[in-house]
Amino acid sequence: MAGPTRSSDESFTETDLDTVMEQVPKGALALAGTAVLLLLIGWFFVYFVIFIPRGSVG
Amino acid sequence: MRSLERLTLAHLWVAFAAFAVACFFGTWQMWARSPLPAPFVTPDHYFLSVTAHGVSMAFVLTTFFIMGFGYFTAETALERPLPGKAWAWLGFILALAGTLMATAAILSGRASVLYTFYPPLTASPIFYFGLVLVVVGSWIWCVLMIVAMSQWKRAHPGAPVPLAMYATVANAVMWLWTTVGVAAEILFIVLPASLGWIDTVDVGLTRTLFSWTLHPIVYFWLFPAYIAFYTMAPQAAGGRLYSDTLGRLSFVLLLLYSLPVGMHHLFMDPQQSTGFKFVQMMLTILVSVPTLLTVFTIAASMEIAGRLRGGRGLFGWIPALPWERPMVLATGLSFVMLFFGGGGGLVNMGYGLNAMIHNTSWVTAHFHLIFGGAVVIMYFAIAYEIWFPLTGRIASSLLAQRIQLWLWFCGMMVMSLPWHWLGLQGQWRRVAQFDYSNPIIAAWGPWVIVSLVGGLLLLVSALLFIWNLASFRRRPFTAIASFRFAVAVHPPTRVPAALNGFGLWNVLVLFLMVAAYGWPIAQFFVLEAPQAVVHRVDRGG
Amino acid sequence: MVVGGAVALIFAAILYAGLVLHVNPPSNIETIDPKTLHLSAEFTEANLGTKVEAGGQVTTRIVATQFAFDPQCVVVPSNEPVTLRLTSPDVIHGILVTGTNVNTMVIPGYVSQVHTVFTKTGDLLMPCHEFCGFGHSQMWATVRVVPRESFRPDSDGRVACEKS
Repeated sequence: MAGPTRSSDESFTETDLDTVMEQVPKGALALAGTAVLLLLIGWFFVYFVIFIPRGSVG
Repeated sequence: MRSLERLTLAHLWVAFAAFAVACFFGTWQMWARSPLPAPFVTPDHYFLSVTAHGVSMAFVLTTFFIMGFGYFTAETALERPLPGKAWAWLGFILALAGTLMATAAILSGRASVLYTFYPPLTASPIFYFGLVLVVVGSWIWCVLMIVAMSQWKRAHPGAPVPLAMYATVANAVMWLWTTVGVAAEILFIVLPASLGWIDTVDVGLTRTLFSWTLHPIVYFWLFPAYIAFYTMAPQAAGGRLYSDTLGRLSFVLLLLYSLPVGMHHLFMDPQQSTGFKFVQMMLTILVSVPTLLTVFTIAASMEIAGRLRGGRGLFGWIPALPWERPMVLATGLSFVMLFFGGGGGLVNMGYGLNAMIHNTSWVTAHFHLIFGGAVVIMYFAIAYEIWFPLTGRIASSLLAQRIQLWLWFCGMMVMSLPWHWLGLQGQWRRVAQFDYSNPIIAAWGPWVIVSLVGGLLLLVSALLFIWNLASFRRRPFTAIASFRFAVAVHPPTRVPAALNGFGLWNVLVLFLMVAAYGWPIAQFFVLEAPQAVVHRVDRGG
Repeated sequence: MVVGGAVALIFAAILYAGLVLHVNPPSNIETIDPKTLHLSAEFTEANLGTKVEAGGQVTTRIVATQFAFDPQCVVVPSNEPVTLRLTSPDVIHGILVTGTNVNTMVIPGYVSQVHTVFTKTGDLLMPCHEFCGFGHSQMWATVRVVPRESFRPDSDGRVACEKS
């Protein structure tokens, strides 16, 4: 397949869009929420398991 | 070919040429640092290479790409000719001349000071003049972007500036603020030292002025990637942008909070107090907000596209997306690298955790993943996306584009993930050769080799990128196809003036900069800080 | 959007609590003339290395130059507060100590001060971690952490690495 990768005309109707918008942004919240949760867990892991045992510095 | 296309392409070819050369240097550097015997390894060669690699990637690839893409956006998003094209060409010539000057200085071994050029190490004045010219060329771009938007607003009173252009001008405004620090450092201290007009420099002041620039410059680099996320990816995926307003808000927050945070590069410096480090750390936390907003908004936009294609359930929209389209693939891969790079950044930004990893390979991992990975992969995708309107040629093979993007992703992950581990072990930065006979260092050897493999993948990907662009083929055409940016779910008919201009934000930036950097800079004029002697690197001393 | 903002605030609170309680970066803003370091009372050659001060405080003074640390080996006690003080007469250097959170830039014109407690005994690597010129790759020192019983200051309160 060659040529521009985006469709020049939209392939959906406004009704399709309205239907879909009833679900959005649940999926985005799930994805972003999971990512943030993983980052928080990772941060806490680094902080308590790696950083603190290396001693206080001031 | 019309002049706008020639202008944009000129910028992009300079950017990508510098990029390709820099990739060779980078891969050789990794070989040199590894336990494997490598050719030409001497400290002179190594630090020449690091300087060339850093200057090419951080200053040339980025500035030229951003300028070229900006000119393209100005005409395409605003649907009117770019004003001041002669000035734009002047800017290009100045920046190119500057690049050639800096390159000459570096390759002749008279500027091995790295792209951060921390005084009192001092290089040939030609190096600094070269950098100044690049910045001056970019300032012309900034003015033209602002003028283009202002003229459009006058011609369309009350209408919302198209998001792609609003974001581009936000970047231009931010860049003007950003360059104040390094421009002051170079013009008032470093160039005079390099020309021999002064023999000593206030190192605390130069470090602080450079830090002013060092953080927001990475957002300068990042803006085109975010512009692609908001204004190209949703359309490529076959959907709509979830929210135009959230997009404007994110760009404005990036402008506000990317500037007064440079001190997080100085957490381990003795010349700044805990108080100001704390303030700037708090502001740094705020600059994560627009990224969180962006992740959410773009995920929601992709969700729209995925669900329109039949994806169901909480995550079913993800596999439903048209991953065969390079812009969609690049966005997904970019987000994965953003996750890891951002995670590393969360560690960097606390001044306690920073002590654990400052100046180790952890830092190198962070910025290669975030910039080299998440941002540059979008530069590739943007190039692939706009190459047709620019040249009238079509891609020979989308498969080759996808392979190139996957290679870049895999290479970047394989190269940088081990660096996190090595950084925690204490592997430090900017080293030409490690003494692998030391048992602590010997343990690092295998991981350094793993990283090198990643680097080789990146080199192949870089060459494939150039090949892909060069092999876009002719197709009989009568006119350049018009390029369209993504449409929002609810295209705005009016936006608040605050999200259609920058007057308010400039005032806030001024306020924040005075609060965050006012005293930290002023103190050097009040303190009796003893100065350090200039150390030249271009005269063998 | 609300969720994003809330998460950011939680982040802020956590970071604030964690960091303020445990760590402060080197931030003493103490100036010194790099050109006369060797003549200064504190960083003169004879006063470098580890010394137990009058009040019992263990202080280790190190000068970073192109391209070696002076001294190249220091001895510190484990499980006792140690203060490291570093400066440079020439260009920007920096140090970290492997396996610890000791990390600071060393800026000519300033004294960097780091307080810490070493817990693990043994020889730790203290490289120069900021590019300081062509000899940067070969610039490192050793921090020898010894248990209390082995940490024996001489009559001046000084402890140095054994010549081996």
